[in-house]
Amino acid sequence: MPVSDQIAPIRGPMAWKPARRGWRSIDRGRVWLLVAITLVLAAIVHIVTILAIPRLATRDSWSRINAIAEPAGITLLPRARPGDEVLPGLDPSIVYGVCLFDLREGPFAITAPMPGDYWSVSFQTRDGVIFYAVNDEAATSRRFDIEIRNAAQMRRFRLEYPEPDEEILTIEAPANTGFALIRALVSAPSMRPRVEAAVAATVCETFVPPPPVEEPVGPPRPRPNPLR
Amino acid sequence: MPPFQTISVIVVAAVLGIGSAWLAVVGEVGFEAIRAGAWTSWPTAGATEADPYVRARFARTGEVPISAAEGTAFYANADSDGEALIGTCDYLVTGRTPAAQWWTLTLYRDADLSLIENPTERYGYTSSTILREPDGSFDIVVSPRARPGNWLPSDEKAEALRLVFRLYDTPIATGGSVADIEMPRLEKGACR
Repeated sequence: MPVSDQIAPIRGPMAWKPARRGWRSIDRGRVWLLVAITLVLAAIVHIVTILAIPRLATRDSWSRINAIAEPAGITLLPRARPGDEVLPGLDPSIVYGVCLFDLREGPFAITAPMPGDYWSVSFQTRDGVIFYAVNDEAATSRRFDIEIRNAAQMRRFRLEYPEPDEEILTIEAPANTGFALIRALVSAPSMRPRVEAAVAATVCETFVPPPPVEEPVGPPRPRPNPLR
Repeated sequence: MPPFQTISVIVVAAVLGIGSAWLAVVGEVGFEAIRAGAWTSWPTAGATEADPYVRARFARTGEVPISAAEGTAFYANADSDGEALIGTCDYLVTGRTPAAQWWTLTLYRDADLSLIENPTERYGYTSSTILREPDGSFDIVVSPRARPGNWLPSDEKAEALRLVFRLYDTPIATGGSVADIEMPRLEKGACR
């Protein structure tokens, strides 16, 4: 039989079917298998992307604050004005102050006299996790005194000072680097200079650890001596 | 598996996975979102136990979240009927607020949470600067044109808008009931 006789009868709904085996000749089950593999892979990619965004973000709050804040001491964020915002979504009625900390250098302490109407302090790691926050209502006095330490510094501190200090709150940080963010509310425009001055008076300091053998050079404030 | 099929599967999976992740982060997805009328809040934002979508969302925008110990932020980019807030329309923010020591209401562009320039330098209200009715309720008019009373200036050229209602020191954030939060209504007025 000539070849032309084999080709000619192909017509109607069967006409699309190619004679050779290839991409389009795969059966239905195989198509579903490929779809299933695609969806499972897509789900994995989706989850990995969501989890990776905080690590890969270059314009997150840590990066932006790290770019403008002084390495030591407190930095007041400039008042939010249109076109001149250091962070998106800042509240224009709030005065913000930031202190960077790096616990690899030593424990970090923050002390502030806080007059005014509302204030709060939050401690964030560079991954954006707030591990401690307090506001004026929860605080017992009009000033706050907070020390943060990493796990190793905390263990050493507990050994040196087994009795808890009533005046100073000591918090264990889950990471070595991050920042403290102070918020203070400006309840009326005329109050702004006073609130800014109060936030600027915040003292942020890193204690350089004392030499190991000598008598420890303690932090500036007196502590109860457990040996006495 | 033939190489053409392998490559197709990988490419389609990558597009679907990354695309859906992007939409989820740009959109208002979050397992722990609280909705009250037009307002949405992510009370776990910044917390150790925050869900990955909320964390990715804040990492992308660069906002600093408010922790529950400090307060709660409610966001609205649509009115109470679900229509998007836009610069050419007037909006009335009316009603009462949940219990809080202080609150502030601020108007931003929806796209990048930037403030909207205006000659009066009025970007928002606080609970202490607002004019109230005798019964304690209040009306705020968001409009590109000057209005009597509590006027919050918007801009006709600003496209999508976002209102952020921040409650500082509120029992909602620290274990209060979520079900009966009473937030102000967001009613659309005249448009140009």
